Amino acid sequence: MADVVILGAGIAGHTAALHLRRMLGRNHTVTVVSPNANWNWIPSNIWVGVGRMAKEQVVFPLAPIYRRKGIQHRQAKAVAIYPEGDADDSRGAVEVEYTGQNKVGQTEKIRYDYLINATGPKLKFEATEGLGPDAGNTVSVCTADHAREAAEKLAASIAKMKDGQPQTLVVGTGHGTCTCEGAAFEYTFNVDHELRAAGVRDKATLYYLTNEAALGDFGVGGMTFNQNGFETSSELWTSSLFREREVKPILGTHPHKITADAITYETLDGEMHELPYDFAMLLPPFGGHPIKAFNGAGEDITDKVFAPSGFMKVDADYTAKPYEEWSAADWPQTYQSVGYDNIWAIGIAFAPPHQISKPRKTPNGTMIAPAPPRTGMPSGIMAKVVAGTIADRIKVGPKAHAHHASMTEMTAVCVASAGNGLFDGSAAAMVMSPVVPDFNKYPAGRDMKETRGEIGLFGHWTKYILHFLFIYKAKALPGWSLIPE
Amino acid sequence: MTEQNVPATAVQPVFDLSGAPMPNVRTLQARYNPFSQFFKLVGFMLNIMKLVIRSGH
Ligand SMILES: Cc1cc2nc3c(=O)[nH]c(=O)nc-3n(C[C@H](O)[C@H](O)[C@H](O)COP(=O)(O)OP(=O)(O)OC[C@H]3O[C@@H](n4cnc5c(N)ncnc54)[C@H](O)[C@@H]3O)c2cc1C
Repeated sequence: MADVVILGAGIAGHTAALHLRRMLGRNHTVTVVSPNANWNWIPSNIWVGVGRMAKEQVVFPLAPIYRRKGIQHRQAKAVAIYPEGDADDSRGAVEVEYTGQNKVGQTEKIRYDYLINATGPKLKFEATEGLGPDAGNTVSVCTADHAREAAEKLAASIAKMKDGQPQTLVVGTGHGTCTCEGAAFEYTFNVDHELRAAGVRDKATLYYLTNEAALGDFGVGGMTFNQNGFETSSELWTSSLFREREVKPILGTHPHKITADAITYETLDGEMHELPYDFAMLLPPFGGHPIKAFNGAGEDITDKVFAPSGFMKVDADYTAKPYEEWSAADWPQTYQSVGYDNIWAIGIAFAPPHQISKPRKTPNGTMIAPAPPRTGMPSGIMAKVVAGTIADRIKVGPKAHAHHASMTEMTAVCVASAGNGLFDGSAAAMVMSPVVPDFNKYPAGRDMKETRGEIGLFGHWTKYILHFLFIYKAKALPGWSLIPE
Repeated sequence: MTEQNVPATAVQPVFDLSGAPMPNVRTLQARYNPFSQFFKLVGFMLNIMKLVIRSGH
């Protein structure tokens, strides 16, 4: 009998739990530790953030699904791991602190044979003074509750415009090292769509404030497509969309300070600017959750197990080298942790070896470097691959080969909504193959035959279908495992 | 010089989009034509399935 413990019940952790339960007999335990009682289909938070969906449409409780599937569930957060066990037991253990299940604040040590870290990002609003819902100035769409608040504040701003008051709206990244620019891009165009639907677009000045040095960078260094017989770039393609919708982009920015009515930001040339605003949705930078690690002697080995960003080190090449010298081979294949062959980190929780988009510094020394995105599809694939490795190790033996899936080979499908509506919605649908460019294999870094982008109503329908499909899958309803990651 | 002693200006360095192509009326109509968009949807979904099957995930 083996005990598998999974930290996190997001896209990566929940997918891994369902696949492991499917692959393993009931004599083995699968335990999920997650501080939230609910699962959230985060991509649809964008629609909650403009009031087109209710929070209840993008979340559902995990407990009934785990009960039905025979997955043990601890509503708790991991605070420390003991990969070599402790004085009481040589098996690895995770120390958790309960956040629910009538045990708030209580701690417990859970023993494991295999551990998956899928804790996703810590939303580091504190990295920029005045950023985020707690500071009360800007809103966010990173959680369903944040998105609900964003919708309320956007509605208030639209009401003022209906009363004839012009408003300045800002959407983008709240720090020079943010990732997930695609989400900010989506929210910008959904806000634009709402303003037009409310008949107040002429009263609004809409800015897209981003750490990207070029439009269409998305933290992946942009893309080159083949379109109608021509090579085109994601920069040209997205610039067209911004021009068409009259959104004003401000590129290569690092916000330093946010007050109730102004954003002070620096640009790549080192200039400082102050942007007065009425409504702002700015994403926070991501870091790993503050989980400690201790060896068998009780010594702190957090630095060995986790990168300075707080993400877990895996089978990547973390050697410090200039941006120009990195290669596709630096990216992880198996997601196995450094030093421990029974621990893996998947989804956003693993430490990427380096930036994909070129990192830049201002003359003042401020870092403006979009971090590599780890979107839903790669997170799900990593989850399935690691579940396969663990199932083989349990069933075949500890020497069973690890399953592989590098982001330098994975395709990602990104559907960025540009407005919700059955016949007037639209979305930019992009296929990126591979996610991390491989310049040895493809002259442009990516496969030009497969990498593509298109805008239209079909993109909205695709995003809508994916919303229902992935919620169906996450609820583990009949046939769920046939739906790809 | 650190960022603290660089005075902030109220001028916004908005990226110049005048060189970006604007879609023509035909393109805009095509983007919202339910019939052509339905076929695009089917093509896109089939392409995703092809990529998924090829990758083995
Ligand atoms: C607004 C927004 C829109 C997006 N849109 C898209 C999109 O359209 N398409 C796309 O592919 N991707 C999109 N993404 C990215 C996508 O959401 C992520 O790729 C995905 O959620 C990553 O999955 P994950 O499991 O690694 O992290 P998460 O989904 O964040 O899950 C992390 C889990 O860990 C739990 N956890 C946190 N701390 C602890 C702890 N200490 N112990 C135990 N558990 C813990 C959390 O409660 C959560 O359950 C979007 C992201 C955002 C923010």
